[in-house]
Amino acid sequence: MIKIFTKRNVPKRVLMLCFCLYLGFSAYAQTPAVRGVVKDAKETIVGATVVAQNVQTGVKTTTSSDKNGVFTFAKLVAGAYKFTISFMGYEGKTVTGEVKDGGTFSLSVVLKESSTSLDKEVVVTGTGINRRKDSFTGTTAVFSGEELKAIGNNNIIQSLRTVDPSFLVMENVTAGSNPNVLPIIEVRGKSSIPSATLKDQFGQDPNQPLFILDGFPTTLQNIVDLDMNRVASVTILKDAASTALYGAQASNGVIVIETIKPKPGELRFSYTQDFGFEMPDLSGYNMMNATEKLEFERLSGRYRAEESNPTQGVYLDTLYNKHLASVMRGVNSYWLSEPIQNGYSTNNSINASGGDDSFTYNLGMNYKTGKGAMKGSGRDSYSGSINLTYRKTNLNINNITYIRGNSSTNSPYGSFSSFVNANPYYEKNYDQRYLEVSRRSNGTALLVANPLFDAMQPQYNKASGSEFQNNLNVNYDVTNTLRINGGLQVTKGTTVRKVYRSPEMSDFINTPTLRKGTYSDYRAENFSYQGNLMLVYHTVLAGKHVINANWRNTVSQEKNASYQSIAEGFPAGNLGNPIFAYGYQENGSPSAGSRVYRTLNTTISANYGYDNRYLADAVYRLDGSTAYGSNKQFSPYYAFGLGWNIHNESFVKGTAWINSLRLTGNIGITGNQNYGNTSSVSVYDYNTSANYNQFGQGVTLSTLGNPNLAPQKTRQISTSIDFSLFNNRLTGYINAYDKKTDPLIVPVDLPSSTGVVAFPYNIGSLTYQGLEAKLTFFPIYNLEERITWNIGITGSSYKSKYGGFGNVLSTLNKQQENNKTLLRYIDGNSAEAIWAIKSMGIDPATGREVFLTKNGDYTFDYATGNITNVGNTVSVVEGVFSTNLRIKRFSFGAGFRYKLGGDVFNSALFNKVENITLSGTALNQDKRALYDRWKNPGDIAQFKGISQTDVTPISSRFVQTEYSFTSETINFGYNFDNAAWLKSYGLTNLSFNLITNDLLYLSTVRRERGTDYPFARTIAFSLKASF
Amino acid sequence: MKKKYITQLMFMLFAVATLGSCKKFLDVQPEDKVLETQLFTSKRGVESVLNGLYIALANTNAYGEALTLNTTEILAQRYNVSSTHDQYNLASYTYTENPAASKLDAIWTNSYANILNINSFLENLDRYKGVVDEKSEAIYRGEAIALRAYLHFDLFRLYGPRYNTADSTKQSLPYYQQTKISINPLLPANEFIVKVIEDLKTAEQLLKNDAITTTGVNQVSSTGTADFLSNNRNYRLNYFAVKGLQARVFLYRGDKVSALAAAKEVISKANLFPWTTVNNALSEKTNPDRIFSTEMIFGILNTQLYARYTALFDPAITDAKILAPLPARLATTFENNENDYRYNLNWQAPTTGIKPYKTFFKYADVVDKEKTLFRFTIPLLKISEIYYIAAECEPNTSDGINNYLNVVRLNRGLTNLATTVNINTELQKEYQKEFFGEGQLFYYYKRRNVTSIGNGSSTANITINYNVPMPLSESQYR
Repeated sequence: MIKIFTKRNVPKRVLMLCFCLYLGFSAYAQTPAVRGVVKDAKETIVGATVVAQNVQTGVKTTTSSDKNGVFTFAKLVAGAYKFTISFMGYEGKTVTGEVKDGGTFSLSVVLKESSTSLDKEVVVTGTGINRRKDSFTGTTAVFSGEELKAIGNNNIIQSLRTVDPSFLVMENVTAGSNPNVLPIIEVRGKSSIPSATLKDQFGQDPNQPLFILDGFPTTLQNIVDLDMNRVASVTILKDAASTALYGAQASNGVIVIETIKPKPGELRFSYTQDFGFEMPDLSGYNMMNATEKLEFERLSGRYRAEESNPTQGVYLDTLYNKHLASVMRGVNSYWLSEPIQNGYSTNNSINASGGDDSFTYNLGMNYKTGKGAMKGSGRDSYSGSINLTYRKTNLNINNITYIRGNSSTNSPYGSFSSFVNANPYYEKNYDQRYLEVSRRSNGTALLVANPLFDAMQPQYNKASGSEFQNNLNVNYDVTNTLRINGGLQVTKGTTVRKVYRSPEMSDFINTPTLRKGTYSDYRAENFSYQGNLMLVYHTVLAGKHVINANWRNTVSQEKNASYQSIAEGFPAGNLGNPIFAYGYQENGSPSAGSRVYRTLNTTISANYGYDNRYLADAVYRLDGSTAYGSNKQFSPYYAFGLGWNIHNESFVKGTAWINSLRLTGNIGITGNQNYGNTSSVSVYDYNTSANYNQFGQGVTLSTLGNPNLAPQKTRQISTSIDFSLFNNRLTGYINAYDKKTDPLIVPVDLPSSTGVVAFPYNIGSLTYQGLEAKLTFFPIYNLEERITWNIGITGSSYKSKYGGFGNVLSTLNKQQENNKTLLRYIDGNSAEAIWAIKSMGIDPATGREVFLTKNGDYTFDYATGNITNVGNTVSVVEGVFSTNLRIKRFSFGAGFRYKLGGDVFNSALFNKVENITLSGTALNQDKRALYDRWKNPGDIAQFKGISQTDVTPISSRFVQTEYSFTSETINFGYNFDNAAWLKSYGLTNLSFNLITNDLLYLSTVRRERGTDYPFARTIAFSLKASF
Repeated sequence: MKKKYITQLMFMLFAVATLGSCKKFLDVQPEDKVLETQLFTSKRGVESVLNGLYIALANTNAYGEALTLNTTEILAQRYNVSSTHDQYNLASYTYTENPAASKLDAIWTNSYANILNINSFLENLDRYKGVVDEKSEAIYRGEAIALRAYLHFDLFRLYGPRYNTADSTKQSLPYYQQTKISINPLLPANEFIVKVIEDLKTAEQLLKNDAITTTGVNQVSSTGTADFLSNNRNYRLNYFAVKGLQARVFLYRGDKVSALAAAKEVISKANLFPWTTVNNALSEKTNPDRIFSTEMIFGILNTQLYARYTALFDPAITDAKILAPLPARLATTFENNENDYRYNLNWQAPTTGIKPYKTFFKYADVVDKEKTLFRFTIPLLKISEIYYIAAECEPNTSDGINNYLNVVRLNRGLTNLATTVNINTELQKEYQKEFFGEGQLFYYYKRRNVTSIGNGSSTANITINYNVPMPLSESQYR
């Protein structure tokens, strides 16, 4: 019976193949023969290929290991031999040895896992410039696809935040768990002031890292939709030395994703099913019930008439009594439950690979369908890929073809907030347009729209997209030291979004009949190519000097075009076919956009290692990109790094408890190109609203030229200590960085008489200083028994500081003041600071808020001059505590995120407890608005008088320090590897995983999370079968 | 060996060729935008920038609606805007509340944005010298400078201080004559007005050879495209428009002598702007020229005009949105005189009975949408105003009445006034009748320092608040 060994049988983290080779003794003394056993830590390997080549004669002899893992060369001529051992899933290894007549020698070699699983010792930068981790001075983190999938099976973004401390996914309080909203990601803080004005139509979040999929840039959307089963590895490049290869796009870090490469061998086939449940989490909402709500309305003065207006008094009394009657009748509607459902997602993924040494293939396909936590919302995606590799002597050709697609629908229930706000004393119904219809005393109608009625109307808001991509990569080894690498990527994609709003919906109450109902159709197309050509030089001089050098040139073009038209005027009850529209939008014209963006760059990168002890890296990149009429089309970026492998020093080598200890440091300049095009000449647009006269058309300025604008550059200094101690029982790293973006591009608003809005200026700088650390400890590490247990902790802490603004941005700050935002641009202060006036609480005598002036006086008067820095949204420390336990076939993992000490501005308190306007009292509010507000003189209350409906300014009362604890992942797995019964079904492997995400959320701050879309807890299940 | 050299040589050549074309590769002309460098290399491009300046005038937040049909007229209590009307806070002069605040902000921002466009146009004429021949350039430049003065002056009339002494030194507004990203100071009112006068003087000189002085307005047919130099001069800031504007500015400043001189120059060429006909005013039922376009010295074409009509004046609009006067107020304004062309033609009670009062028809569309040349037009300066200015400035009151005021009255179907009447009382009545929906009345009241006028929404009087504040988008950055 032949046991087939596959890598899945072995715990990934300990996937170190031990290869033992020994020579026969006396029994073979006369005719030299070699015998050996191929095994890994646990088991012998069956079917490994062993080639023995005589160095002098070049004669090759081949054999393979038998069922016991033993291989034998019955007869070998004496001499020097090269033994090459290879096996699917492991990196081949060559061992040299002298075979003598009757002589003996023994070899013990540790092989690395092959790149077909995950080689954590190689830093894949995605550019084709790869470095051995122990010779590279940059700070990177590498994770395998399986590692990420064990944490969560939804997408890699969700899992990455758990494993890497510098990869932060910002909580989106508005969009919650909406599957159609992209996450906001930051790696090591921001590199620009967030601003919508500098982004063009196709622009991205300026603080988003760059994503590289199989060597070419891709969009965040593609990464979110990427089938996790296809992912081989993810590398996060954090600092200047590692990201400078990406020059102008690198300031926010680079995430490099490699998909599974084809492996030679017989056809292998696997099927994976991922199933997830999403349960909406309404625990953040704290809304009043019917009785409470009516009482609140009464106390807040909704039914109190002006004394001079007795008719109003009569009307308000009637209104109150009507509402009271419904409360008495027992009406207490819980509107929150209406738009939600238990969502689910299911992903079917199949993968087949195989081939021989010269030609290998991998075919992958997946279809994922999901329903979100709000009724009617969902996202489906599919993908297919064909990966072909051809190898012949010096030539290696790889071609990957992807087809991707998705379709998404948004919930007809619209914003979740309209249900949160709905009054509990109205009865739920689906067929009345209004929940209440009455006529105010002044004759105007009081109409309360029914959110359920709108949701029941025929409508849709859906989008679909598809993309075709082909990546071709050719390697040619010119000599042993020189390689030429060329790559070409072509991508073509389309997106269509269609939105139909039914004429009966409440949006159209005041619209003329012929304009009721709208249909909008948006189409976007993109076509891009990128080509690159690289020379790779690698040599070892005098056995000690290792030199790697690369020269890489890239050319790319991206073309986007979009078109939108709107039709209006639909018959009632129409399902939204545009053929029934009355016409195009009145006085509307189609909108269209197009953009061509080109880049050119050349990169020189060199890596030098002396005796594997002293390391150096240098990168220079010259980046050119399309910028209208600019004289500064090219900008240089560079990085320089040094490293020291302490564990290779002779004075450490004897120390048993140090397995690896490395110190690295680097400095470099990178850029941030996510900003839209800024122009040095003026740009004009055709006047759109009234676009002609008898003289024809005309143009007006849309952007005033700004020839002096310099691109944002980020200087980053990074140091790292990386260690593995006590027989690899304790591993980890500590990184420190200082990241300074100088100059920033800040859109400054000037007085409107200048005619200029949001004019981009180069002002000031933004500095981030931070520390990130990861420690993993194995209390149990028993590979023989296959029991391992580790506990780990990651942590990240950073602070930011503005500088160099002087007084220039005082006008911007004044605007922020008027817009009541919490942001200010003031030297020496953090970019994440919260600015508000300091509050001393509520005066028990009057129920009014007492403020603290800058002079330390108490006052009732709100003056913007007293605004100070009252908090910072960045946590003091944020990270993940994790543990992984593996007992034979069973595995367990858990990751808990902790956040210590960041401040949050509690908008629920600000908007739903206070700041409830008189008309706002008609909407449902937070319970605390009834219970915790001041009512009578002498009350010690946290919130101001219940009857005060005037505006509450932003004050420190709404800023709370948050300590939170979230169970990001808890997962269980069981693996039936090599179970006898599997064979009878033709299976080679079968594994199950059960994962829960965000099951538990504990926070010291009670606030509403998910204004437009609720958050959801996830329970997911994965099954993987290999044949 | 040889082969290796060839390969190397090929490679070098390739590298050189690539580097040379790098710049070219990166230079992409955007498809959905037009660059300054593209526009200012052809005469057609320069003209489209100039035309853009005029089209921007027709914006809803400029003379397309706010400064003619709507906002300034509400401020002059033209319409019945009661407390249940959407625009009540404009009619009650509570300027800091929305929608009044946002409307006034939009007018300000829009006008100054257009001024930036003008300045950029003028600077680019210098920068790209020779694209347009010298004669045309003088005309274009003159029009643009006059336009700059026009916009500044109207902003001054709306937001500036009252200018009732000869040279007010009150802080007023900033005057921009260059594109620059820095803040111009708030000028004293007298300095501001001097800049307006200077700009008009420069414009006058540049426009000396304006085709209007020889060939007149020269309206192009409805299917033709107008020539930038010779056609439709009354839709351009022509030489006489500049003179008329000078008359307006001088009178605002209180310099009646200069105002009269300028007015007289225009009146001497009044035949270029003939009065409307009796036939048009009384008999034409299907395609009446309700705005008296022949009398127009300067006006704009707003392609959205009839959409604005539907949104503001159409009898089908709800009471909370329609702009229509109280019936009694309207009758008083026109002194119940049905012979007045302006009353008869522009005010009708809807035949459908949908509204019990007369609504405003001045900007309603006509039946013939092909041949009529005056469609979409909003007049900004008419010959009648020049006569009024002359009448007011004429030192001899009876000459003022006989030579100027009665000339207009004659052409409005009214009888002559005796020379004994109070000319200012009569002029005020005339301004009230003549400029309905043209935005001039508020400025007249402000200049004449009329504090108490009839409330648009009641029979009582109301005190006008002339202190229109500088909008937030300006003041918060100063």
